[in-house]
This record gives sequence, C-alpha cells and structure tokens, in this order.
Amino acid sequence: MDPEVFLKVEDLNVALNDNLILKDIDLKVYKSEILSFVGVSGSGKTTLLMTLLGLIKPVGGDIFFAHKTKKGTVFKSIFDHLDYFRSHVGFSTQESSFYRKLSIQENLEFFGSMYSLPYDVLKQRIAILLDLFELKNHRDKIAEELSGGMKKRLDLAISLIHNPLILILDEPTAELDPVLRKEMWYFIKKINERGKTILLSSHFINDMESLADRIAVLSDNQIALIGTPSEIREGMGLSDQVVIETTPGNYDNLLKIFYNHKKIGLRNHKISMNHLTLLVNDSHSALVEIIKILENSSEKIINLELRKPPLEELFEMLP
Amino acid sequence: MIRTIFEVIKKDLKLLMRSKFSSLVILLTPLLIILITGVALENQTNFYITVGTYSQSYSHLSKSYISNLESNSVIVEYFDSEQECIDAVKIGKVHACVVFSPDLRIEEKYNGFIRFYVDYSHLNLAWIIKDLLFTSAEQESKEISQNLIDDLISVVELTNENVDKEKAELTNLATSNDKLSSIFSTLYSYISVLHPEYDLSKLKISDLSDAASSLKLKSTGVISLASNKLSELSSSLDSLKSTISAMNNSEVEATLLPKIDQMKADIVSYQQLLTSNKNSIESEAGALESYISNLKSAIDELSQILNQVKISQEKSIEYVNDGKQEAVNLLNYIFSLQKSINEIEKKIDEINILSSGKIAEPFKTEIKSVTPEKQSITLLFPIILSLMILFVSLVVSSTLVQMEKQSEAHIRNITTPTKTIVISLGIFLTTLFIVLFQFIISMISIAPLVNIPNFFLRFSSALLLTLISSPVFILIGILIGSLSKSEQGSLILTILVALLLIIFSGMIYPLEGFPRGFQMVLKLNPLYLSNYFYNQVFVKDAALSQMLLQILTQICWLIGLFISLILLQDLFDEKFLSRHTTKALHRPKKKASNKRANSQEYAKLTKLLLELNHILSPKNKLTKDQVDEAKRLYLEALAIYQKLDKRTKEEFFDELNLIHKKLSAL
Repeated sequence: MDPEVFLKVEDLNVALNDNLILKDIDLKVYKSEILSFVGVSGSGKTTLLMTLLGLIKPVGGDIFFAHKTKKGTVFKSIFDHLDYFRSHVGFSTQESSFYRKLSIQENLEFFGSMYSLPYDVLKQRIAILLDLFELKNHRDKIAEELSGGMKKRLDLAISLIHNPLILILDEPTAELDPVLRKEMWYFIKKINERGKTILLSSHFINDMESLADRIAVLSDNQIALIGTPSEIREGMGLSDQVVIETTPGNYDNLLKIFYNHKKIGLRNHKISMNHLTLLVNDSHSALVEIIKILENSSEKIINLELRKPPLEELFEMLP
Repeated sequence: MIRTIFEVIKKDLKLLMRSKFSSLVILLTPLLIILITGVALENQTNFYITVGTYSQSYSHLSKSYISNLESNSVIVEYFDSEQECIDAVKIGKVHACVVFSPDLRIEEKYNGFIRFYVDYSHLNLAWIIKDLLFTSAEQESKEISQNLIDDLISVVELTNENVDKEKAELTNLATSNDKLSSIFSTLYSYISVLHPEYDLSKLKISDLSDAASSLKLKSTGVISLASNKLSELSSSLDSLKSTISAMNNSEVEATLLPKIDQMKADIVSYQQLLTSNKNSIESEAGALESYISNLKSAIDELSQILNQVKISQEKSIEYVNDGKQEAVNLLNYIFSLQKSINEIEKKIDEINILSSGKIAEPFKTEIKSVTPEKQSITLLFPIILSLMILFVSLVVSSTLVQMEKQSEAHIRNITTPTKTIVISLGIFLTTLFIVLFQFIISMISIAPLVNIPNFFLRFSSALLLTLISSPVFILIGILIGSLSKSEQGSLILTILVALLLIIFSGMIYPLEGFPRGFQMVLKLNPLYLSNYFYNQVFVKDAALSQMLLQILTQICWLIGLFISLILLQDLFDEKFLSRHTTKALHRPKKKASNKRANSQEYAKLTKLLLELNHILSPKNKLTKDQVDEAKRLYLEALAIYQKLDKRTKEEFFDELNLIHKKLSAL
C-alpha cells in the first residue's frame, strides 16, 4: 500500500536577504515516517525546516498539507491556513524553547494553555509526557537547573503537549554527548512509534542510518539525494572502505602509488588517528592490490580491515 | 482566552519573582521612596533657604529686613562684596543674594535700593525664593509706608483744619478786598475830585502884601493920626484943663480935672496903647509881611506842592486804579484760591480712608492655600505617586516584553494558535497588577505620614484614576519593548520617553512658561494628566466629576494606544520572526562536533562511556573480568571527567551517575 502523503513540497524556492538559500525543492513527506535532512553547514536544512514550519515565506513554490474532509483528502497550502497547520505541528529547535525560570510542570502547563487545551486534558497529557520522557521525578525542578539531556527532553515534551500530527526537530541532539544523543534518538523513536511524523535535521548522519526511514541530502541549495539509508549509499555509488594502519605511517607516498594504481579504483581517502581509510569501488579486488603494494613498501601493516563506510564518512567525502 | 491570559500573567509574575533582584525592586521600591520621602519631609512646611547678603554699611532698615528673613527660617550669610555674593549664588552656595544700598534709609533725596539676585535655573525654587524675599521686603516696606502715610495723613488732617481756617480767612480776605476795593473807589472818588491845580494869582498875594502894607500904613497912619489926635486931644484937654483951671471953679475942677487927668491918662494910655498897637501893628504888619512873604513862599511851595499833589494825584489815581485793578485781581485770586481750597476741601472730604494701614494696604492681600494643608509631603505626594506609576508602568511592561522577546520560548509562543496580542494583554495585566500592588503599598505607607483628611475615602478615587492612567503608560512601555531590538535599547528608549513626558509635564518647568498653543498640546501629556488627577484628589479633594474632561482625554490615549498595539502587533511579529530566523540561520553550528574534533578528553570519555554501556548492557551476563574491566574503565572515565570544564561535565554527569549506580549494584 502506498504510504499516505502528509506533506507536499512543490517547487519551493526560499531566499533570505536576496540570497537564494533553497531552490526547486520537491518533496513528499509520508505519514508516520521519520525523514531526516542532512547536509553540510549552510546547505539549507534549518531554512527548509523553518519554511516547513511556516516561519519563512518562500519566494516560489508552496507547501501543502493533507487535510481530510468527508469528500476525501484535500491538500491545502500551509501559508493560507497557518494557524490551523501550526496547531497540528510541534517543533523543537537547536536552542531549547522554554522558560528557564519555570519548572518542568509550569512550562508544560503554560504551553498547554497556549494551545487552549482543556485543563483535564492538559493534566493528563502532562502526566503522559512526564512519563514518556522520564521527567516525572523532576517535574518541580526549574528548567535552568536541568542537565543538557533533560532540557532537550523537556523541549521535546513541550513540542508534544498539544499532540501534534507532525514534529519538526532542528538539530535535536546538538550539544549533546553521544550517550545523551543516543537517548534522544530513543525518545524520538518512541514518539514516532505513536504515529507521529517526524522531520528532523542532524549532522549525525550515522545516527540517521538507524533512526530515519528516509534521508534527504541537501547540497548546493537543493535536495541532492533522498531515500532510505541504503538507497543513499547506493546513490552515492560508494560501498566499501579499506582501513589501513601501518608503521611508520608515511601515507603520502603510499597514496601516490594507490591513486596511480587503476586496479585499486581509489575514489577518495581520509587520514585520521593514524588510520588511512580508502574509499574504493570494490574492496575485495582493491585489498589484494593494496596488500601487494604494502608488502613491497617500507610500511609494516599493523591493522587492515574492510568495512562498509558509515554514511557520515561518505558524506564528508562528498565533493 | 481568559485562561490563556491568566496563564500568561501567572507566568510573568513567576518569572519576575524568581529573579530576586526584580522582586526586591518591585516590592521594596515604592515602600522605600514613600518612606524616605515621608520621613524626610514629615511635618515639613518650609523650604530651607540660604540667602547671601552684602552692603557697604548696614543701616537699621537693612538689619531689620535681614531679621525679617531670619524669622522666616532663612539662613543668612554675609559676604564682603557684591560680586562674591553673586558668585555664591552661581555656584549654589546660597540660593539668592540681597544687596542693600549703603546706609539704607528713607529720605527725600536718598536713592536707596534693595537688589535681589536670584538663580532662575532653579525654576520652582526660584519662585519660592523670590516670593519669600519679596514678602519680607513687602512686609518691611509696608511698615515704613504705614509710618510715612501716618505722617502724610496727619499733614492732610492738619491741612484740612487749616483749610477750614483759611477758608474763613479767605472770606475775610475777600471781604477786606471788597472793602479795599471800595476804599480804593472812595479814594479814587476823593482823589479824583481833588483839583490840586489852583490859580494862585487869585490869592493876590501881592495885593495882600500891598493891602498889608497899605493896612500897615493906614493902621500906623490911623494910629499916628489917632495918636496925633489924642495928642491933640490931650492938648485940648490940657487946654481945657487950663481953661478949667483958668475957670477956677473948684467943683468943676474937682469934677473935671480928675476926669480930664483921667482922660489924659487914658489918652496917654491910649496913646501908649496906640503906640504899642502901632508898634505891634508894625511888628505884626512886619510879621504879616513876613507871613505874607512866607505865605508867598508857602504859596509857592504850595503851588509846587499842588503840582506835586497833582502829580501825586495823578499817580495816586493811577495807583488807585491799579490798586483797584489789583483788588479786582486779588479778588479773582481769592476766588480762585477759594475755589482751589474748596476743591481741596472737597477732595479731602472725599478721602474716605484715613487710616494708614488701609492706605498702605488698601486691600488685604493674602495668599491662602485652596487646601488646608501646606505640609511638603502632602504637596509632593501626587508628584511622587505619578512618577512612581510612570516608571513602574513603563519599566515593568517594557522589561516583560523584552524578557518575552529575548526568551527562547517566544518563538514557540508565536507558532501557537494564541495570538501575540493575547500575550501582550497578559503582560499588560501583569504590569497593571504590579502597579496596583505598589499603589496600595504606597497608600498604606504614606497614610500615617500625611495629614490628609478622609485619606482612605480619597483612596478609591485615586485607585480609579490609577486604573485609567497607569494603562496608558503600560501600553507605551509595551510599544517600546516591542519596537526595541534589545533590552538595552528598550531601557534607553524607556528612559528617553519618561524624560520627555516629565520635562513637558509641568513638574520641572511650569507649562505656563510655554507658548499658549503649545500649552494646549502639553496639557494632553498623560503624565501631566496623571499628576493633575492625584493633585486634585489628594491636595484639593476634588470630585471625579470635576475632572471629566481630563479623564476622557486619558481614556482617549488608552484607546488610541491599544488600537496602535493591535495594528502594529503583526508587524512586530514579522520583525521578530525575521530577526529570529536570521539569527537561527547564522547560529554557529556543530558545537558538539567541534568539541569532538578538538577535545581529545571529550572523545576519549565518549568512547569510554560507550564501551561501559556496552559492557553493562542489561543483556550481558558479566564475568568477574568484565566487571573488573568495567571498573577500570569507569575510573579512567572519572579521571578524564575531572579535567573537563563545568559545562561539559554537566553533559556527562547523568550518564556517569547511572554507570556508577550500575557498578555499585554489581
């Protein structure tokens, strides 16, 4: 069954201060999916999310949301029905959007009232969210006294207070350490399991591999690639990595030889922490040649491994 | 919506109260202001003014004036020169300078002066100083005037008395003049009838002289003749005698001889008599001649005299005529004088007021307060209250708006279905609540310090007026906060607006000092109106109905500002969104990854925690070696954790804590 389209972006062009930030963006967001936007800094991820939120008006194109009527599903421009659309959208930006001097409970109560939620509904929802985000024992703590992870959880909880259909998260795990980041993905996953559609941007493309249903890669103000993680990997046309660690580690000379060796099919390389990572077309055929070259060189092999490149590394190697 | 507004108010109050500084300021400021002012000015009715003075030499009058000043609680300082005194005013050492002319006194030809030097830059105080100095001068002048007037009045009275007397005298004078005139007329008539010219020849003195001579001659002749006859007689007698004797009649002799002797004696005597008569006639004739001669001379003289008399007569006539004329003139003058005196008398009679006090001060001028109280704190209280309401309203509202705008939560608020105007309304009501709270505190604090009758009855009027005035300032504050991009900008704009309102409110410089047209505009100033309200209520105990026009004006401000806010709210939101999105898009990215790239400790710790989580995963059944390994890794992680900065530590704290608990459980 075809997944239900929840949001449609057609020919979207966004400019800020006469600079075209996004051009010709075409996109469909399906219901209950996690769609992640990735790209280098300045690629337009935040701009796209803010435009999807209705905070930026495009110079061209439009964004439509699915509105169910008795006659069927009708797509309406979010800019013509902004208040209605926003009442069904929750968001969380890189900086937490709550009152630092209010407690968790108070923040949730306040924002709930901003959505005019009836008191009993609000009370119920607060209880659920506190439970969901494991903030129950800290409900009376003042927000600024919370740890980074708890602040992020609070922010997420607030974005869900009005039970939105769609959640837009801009860098939800920025400034979090890997452990907390993992925690955050866990909560996002939990939210998604409740049927929420989630659009998020992140630098942590590796995490997206396991979290996102689809990834949209932004490059050069456009969506360069969109698809599942494996589709992306395939789309990038790079599958394998050969990771070498040698001593004394004069990789420059080796690289000259590797690049000139056609059989290796070296596309790109990265040196980090004494490891040389080679992006090759075919890891197995490349490996044989690499070993031969190493044996004939003054380098002594310490470590040699084959691996599928994490998306992040592939991403960093994008031209 | 009401619930939403209530939540906004609750949120704002909590945010304010949780900032200790803000809550202290909000609670204590009105109390402090009122208490300090109240205690300082309690029962204070005078201004403590210092006045400098200089004179080359102080007279009794100038010293009296100075004593007068000192009796009005003025501190007097003496200077050695006029310039020194003036300089002292300029630098603020004294409030005014009084310079007396040397030996100040009241004298006709003496030009004395009392010169005041006042610093008008003190504005309100300048008028008070001027009033005080002039009042003292006036008092002194009044006393002197009274004394002088007393003297004048006694002169007038004396004049009046003398006028009466002199009127009578004038009448006498007129009468006398009439008499004089008639005398002159009579004199004239007498003189004019005189004809001093006489033809002396008519006197025929020469004839007289001739006659006298002739008479002398004839007399002497007669006498001589008589004497001769007598002699003849005597001779005859002698003859007779002789005859008789011859007769020798004794009887006849006896009878006639004696008689003849007698006759002869008589004749002798007659002869003697005649001789003497002749002599005397001769002498008398001589005398007569000399008399005649004298008479001639006298007549000559008389002629001269007559001439002179004539001349005199003429002159006298002239003079009499002149005299008559003068008498007429004099009469006219007398009439004129009489008329003047009558007028003077009339004027003097018309003078109804003869009391020096009344003349020196025909109308009793006194400045009375329209209110019974002159206590400084009572007079100052409306101003303090107005300023307090102004600043609290402006500052709190603009601050709350800025707090909201600068808060990370605001972007979320904008994206909710609740309109931003509702948030503004919440801020409005929060500020109003705070203002009313401060108002009530002020009222309670000031009540024991001021002596305002029916204080708490006036409280309700003041409260209603606060509910009208304060919202105007609150809305201005909200607009300022909405317009400003930053808290500092908002504060500066708030201060500027407050300053403008204060300068043109009449609190510093009277509005009456501005051009008339401008005054009408300035009287629309909401701060002027606010101060007016409190002044009317607390100082003048006016009813609200007496301030209807001003109340309506303030309400118009309220409506106008509210409409402006509604109309501009969307514009403010757009601007905020524009700034926010620009800020968000230019936000520094990849903080965590930067740390990761640049901080070896961060990376190591992250790796260690990952390994620990993997080892301590609930799925794993741990061996002793694994537990030891976990503990070793934990200690290593702790060692790295200690080297991190505070903020980074916060990120790892919970996680380490969790691992510690898990390890403790093992």
